[in-house]
Amino acid sequence: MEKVDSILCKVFGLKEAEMNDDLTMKDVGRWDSLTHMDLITSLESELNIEFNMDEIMSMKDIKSIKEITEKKALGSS
Amino acid sequence: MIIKDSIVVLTGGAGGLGKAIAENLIKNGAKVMVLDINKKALGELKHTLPDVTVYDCDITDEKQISRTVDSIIKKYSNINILINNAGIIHNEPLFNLMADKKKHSIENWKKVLDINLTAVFLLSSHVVEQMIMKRTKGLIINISSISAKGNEGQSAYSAAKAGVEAMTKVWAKELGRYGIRSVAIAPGFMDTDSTHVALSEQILEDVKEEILLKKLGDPHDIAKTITSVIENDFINSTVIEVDGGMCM
Repeated sequence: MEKVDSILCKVFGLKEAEMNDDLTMKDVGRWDSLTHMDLITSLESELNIEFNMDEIMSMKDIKSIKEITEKKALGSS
Repeated sequence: MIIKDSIVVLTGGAGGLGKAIAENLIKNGAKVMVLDINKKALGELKHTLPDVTVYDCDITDEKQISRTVDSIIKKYSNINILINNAGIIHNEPLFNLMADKKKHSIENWKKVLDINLTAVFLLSSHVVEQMIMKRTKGLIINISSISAKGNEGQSAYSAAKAGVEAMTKVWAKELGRYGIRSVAIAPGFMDTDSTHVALSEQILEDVKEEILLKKLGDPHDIAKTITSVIENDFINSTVIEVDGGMCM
């Protein structure tokens, strides 16, 4: 999901080469609870989906963000 | 935001200003939960406004706040609007040359800050938790005062209200991403019992001279401002002064 990668890089200030699925909040300087929500609103707006709070709180690393988002996006189409 | 059927938590709703706010919201179809520490006033309010739901709650006590918010959520499953209106006015100079105890009482300082600032912080954190977890696009309205700019004889009160205005802006910055707005309303001198208790009639006459409209405000002026803030989804992170044109 290229779009998700692009949103992740933009919100968390990451270069493409820095992205990897194992990154968590403590690995990324710009990733805190507030920017986590910025990510959510960007993903929801760009992909026309809506997460529930359980999903939002489960997104603890890049891998889970991508998996949950993909599942949501496929479920919505 | 539509007022009709919104669940509104209002603190200090049994006092002069609070009662006008509650009345106006009920008239517009909101479901209003009034939190107040004054059981007698709550009873009187319930008698005057039977549609209001009253909760005996000391908002400086976090356990009571938690219990009350849980109770509201259990019954209504959501809170859309929080109006932090409860507060006390207190006049005491930093140094009173003519008094036996000359320095401003630390007990009074703590009491004023507890009720006017800490309580706002505590209740808002509990209500915002509910709003965020339920993804409610909510609204917090904090009742400040023109005294936030610094009124002589009001170290504690002015400091508390300035703090309320600062928190309003902090919350707007933090909570906008969740779709939650945060707005402060700063009334000037209003014609309420607490104003008449806090200030002598002679002082109030002097105050009226300083107001461009030469009169005290009506609590319903604040109630109407609240209606506008609720209905206008683009009002956010601001302090709206409702003071008849009084510069402090």
